[in-house]
Amino acid sequence: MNDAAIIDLYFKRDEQALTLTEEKYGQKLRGIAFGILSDRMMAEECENDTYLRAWNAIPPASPKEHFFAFLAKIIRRLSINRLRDGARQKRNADLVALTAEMELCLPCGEDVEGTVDEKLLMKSISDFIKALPKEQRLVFVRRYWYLDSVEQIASRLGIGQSKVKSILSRGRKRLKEHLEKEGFSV
Amino acid sequence: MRGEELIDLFEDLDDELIEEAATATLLPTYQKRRTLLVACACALLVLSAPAFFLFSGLFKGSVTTDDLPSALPSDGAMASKIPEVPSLRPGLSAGESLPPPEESNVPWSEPSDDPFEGSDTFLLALHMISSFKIHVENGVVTQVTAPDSESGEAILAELKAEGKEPTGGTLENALVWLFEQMLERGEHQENDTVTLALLSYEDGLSTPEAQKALLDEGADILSRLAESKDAVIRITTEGAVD
Repeated sequence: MNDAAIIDLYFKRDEQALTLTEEKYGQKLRGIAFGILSDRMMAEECENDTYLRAWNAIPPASPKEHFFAFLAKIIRRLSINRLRDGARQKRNADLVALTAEMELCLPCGEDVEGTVDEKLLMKSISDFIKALPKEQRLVFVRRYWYLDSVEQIASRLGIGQSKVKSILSRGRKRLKEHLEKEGFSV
Repeated sequence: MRGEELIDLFEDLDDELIEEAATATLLPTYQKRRTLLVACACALLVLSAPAFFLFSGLFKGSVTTDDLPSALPSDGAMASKIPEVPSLRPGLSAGESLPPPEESNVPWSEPSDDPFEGSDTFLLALHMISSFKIHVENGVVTQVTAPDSESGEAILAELKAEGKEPTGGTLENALVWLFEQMLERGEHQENDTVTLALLSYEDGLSTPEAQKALLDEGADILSRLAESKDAVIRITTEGAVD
């Protein structure tokens, strides 16, 4: 069944919408949560919470165009929140490392916190990533959106770890320059 | 804004990018190689099939001269029907053989595509993010090292794993493989500079003209490769320090 038909079921408050969503995207969503949490049970809990959030959000939301991305964003947020709760020490350490890595993308400005228009900033980052060659784009999104480790990315894309590191390092530098050029000082 | 907030901010990444990366896989190198090998094997089979059947038939004796149609005219009759072939070279009549090769005055030379053929012994450095030293003896690369360059060593290891051993071959091959690896690993940005430098040399390259010609040739190869990969790279050359 296509996404638009599933969304229609949400609008009709037909609970079959949840079953169909699970059948179509359950595995992928669990994969995202497990990648962040490294815990199967917690990943399944996040998955169930995702369906509940989707049920409550649709309507009024109507993500007919990118239903998977809509669900993926919910489960990512839930998984990161769960991770920050501190239950998973090792993965938390990974998140701290990733956080430090992402700070390297940011231009150093003197603006006080909160003055940046986050929507504009994210639009600029999305535009930057879209303009990258496919390989670099996938590496960047897998690392900073799906929070995959370098090893996982190398294995998924069939390239060397050193190449992944090199792409990320270059990408961060170029993103920083791009944001500076666009006038963002975060 | 802190990195942690940027992680949250990334949540609003463009939907298309998220969906593209959800199931993304690139074809692994070994699969590429396997696909290429299978394609080559298939092409070889298809191309050699007619010859195979013909020869196998002849060797087994299933195709013999007896199988030729009996309706063909006898030797004498056939000879009379074959028109005389005109001479292909002026001064030679039909049936007259060409002079042996040594009698012709055209000098014979080995065809070669190597632009560096005949170059003397020298040591060349290639540097971008990774650095390499390439030692060439009489036109043959005898040693490639990546001193003090971790990424350079990784590139050499990757080339070796791919069966592209830069030593023992031509300088052009070595340059192309090394530079190609640097580009593929994303070791460049727009207007990055790659430097080709002649570190030492022997007699054959003692004139500045010879050194310049060698470096220009190398720079030309690199710039063509960069262009084919849509990489905007500045290429500089440095003469010998002696």
